[in-house]
Amino acid sequence: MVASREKGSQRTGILLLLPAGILISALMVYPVGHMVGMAALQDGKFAASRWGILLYRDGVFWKALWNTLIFVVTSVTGEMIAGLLFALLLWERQGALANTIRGIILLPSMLSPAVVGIVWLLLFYPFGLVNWGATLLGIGRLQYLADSRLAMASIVFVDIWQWTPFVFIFILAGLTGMPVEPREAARVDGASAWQLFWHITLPLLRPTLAVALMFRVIDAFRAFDKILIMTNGGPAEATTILSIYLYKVSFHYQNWGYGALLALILIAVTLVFQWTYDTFVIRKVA
Amino acid sequence: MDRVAGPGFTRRWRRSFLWGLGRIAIVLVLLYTLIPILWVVAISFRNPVQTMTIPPEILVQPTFRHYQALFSGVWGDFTAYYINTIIVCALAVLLSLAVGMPAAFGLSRDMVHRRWSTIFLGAMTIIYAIPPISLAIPFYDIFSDLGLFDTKTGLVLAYQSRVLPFVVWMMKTFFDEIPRELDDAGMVDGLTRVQVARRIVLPLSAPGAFATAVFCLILVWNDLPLALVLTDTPRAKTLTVGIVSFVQENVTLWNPMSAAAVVALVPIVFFVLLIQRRLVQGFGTGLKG
Repeated sequence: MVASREKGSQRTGILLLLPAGILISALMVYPVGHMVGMAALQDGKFAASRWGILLYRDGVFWKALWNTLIFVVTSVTGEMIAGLLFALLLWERQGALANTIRGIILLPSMLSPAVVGIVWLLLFYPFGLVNWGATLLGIGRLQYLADSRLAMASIVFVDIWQWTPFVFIFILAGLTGMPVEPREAARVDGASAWQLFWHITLPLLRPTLAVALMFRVIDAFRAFDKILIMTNGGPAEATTILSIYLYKVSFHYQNWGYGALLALILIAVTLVFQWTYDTFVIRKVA
Repeated sequence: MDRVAGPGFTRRWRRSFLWGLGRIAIVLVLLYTLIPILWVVAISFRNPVQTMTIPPEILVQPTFRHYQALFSGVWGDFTAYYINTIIVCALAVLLSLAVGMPAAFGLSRDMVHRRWSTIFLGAMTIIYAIPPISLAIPFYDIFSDLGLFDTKTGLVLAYQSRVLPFVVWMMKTFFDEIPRELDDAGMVDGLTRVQVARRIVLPLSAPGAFATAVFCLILVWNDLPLALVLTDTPRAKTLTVGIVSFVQENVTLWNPMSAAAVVALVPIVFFVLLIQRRLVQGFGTGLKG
């Protein structure tokens, strides 16, 4: 009786999962397989020369890979630090006002990166607010997006502006769910605020920080919209990251095979990071 | 010793100083967040001349002509883009809920063999991690062959790669929170698993399903890469794609450009207000994913 019911439940379970399974196969297994075909074959033969071009002759690829790493590391670092600060600032504040403030702070992360791109295009333009503020501070007018020395820093800053709230709300959720007792005990023992933070709060927060970091890195690898709008990868490839480069190769230069190869490399980079981080950090910490 | 002797004067002063410092910091964070957004809203209601003045004028007579121009189709059929975006968002979210919620229930109640659920959740994690712009390349090729290029149907399908993993994870955590004793009680009363899901579990997880839906809505509304690659004409082009074409063709028309941005961000503000209370929970769900 029990066994037959178990079996019936199994069958229902398979039926419940089937539609999603089919959709996932159609949207992942098949397209990725197709993409491997696009990247590996040319006129029905193995396109080995693509790897040669990639490794030895395509300087832009290496530049884009390097830019991607710079972008991911600097923007995620900034977001983690600023997000932690924001969360500590608003932690333990309750009531309608605190809720509203939280909602406002969250806004940038909810906006479309395309909209954020426009917002900062307007702020950075030669007569924009940023330049006005900078002249007040005596810095003078700068070409934030058109100067190849400044463009990447500006893009990173905008990414930090947009995604700090995501880290903030993540950490806030972690702080709210944290047990109170250890901190109470330490406070009774006369620990200073800094000691409380460094020896109690931060260690307890480690799993939250680890997961937030993973989400941010995976998302930073796919950054695309803002850069497309603000600099289009320029000036002189200063802000060309892999996602922008593979888009241009495929859709501007119509080099589909090579574009597919670049897309696979971006996927591989993301997945290798995800797997390594999950195995060596998340499993240990969380 | 000092702390006991000098009865709290310095300490109290220090505390109120820190309290004030915290307040100032919060105000600064709010300004840092809001000024860029408000600036764009302001520019969308101004004439070009008023945009260029330094220092910026705070109060000017607002004009609505950029919005009128935007929707009159001078820079592309924004009315069609708007409608397309709404239709695609609604259908994509409905489809992902219809497909994802049963799967989430099956996974939550361990109704399939462990091996299958591991494979299933693993595939969800991988597909979520794949950058959409990479996936857009084979999609473009496949959709062109199938006649799905530049159609809303194609876009709705493509978006499942973004929202389905999300629905499955989030709904699984919501289902997990509902005690299984309720399932068992229902089954003792002669209900089948599916009836239990429909009559007991679903109503209890309705708030969670609502929050999930709004999250997915925001995800689809905000997307650019997939729509940019998979659409071409007002038949299926979405708002973000319209904005990008606008920027690429008229990079100095600041005022209508900001009007376009405002038109895209207003619904988001509304969505955020809708689920404000659940936002923390929603992001927290990722923790268990």
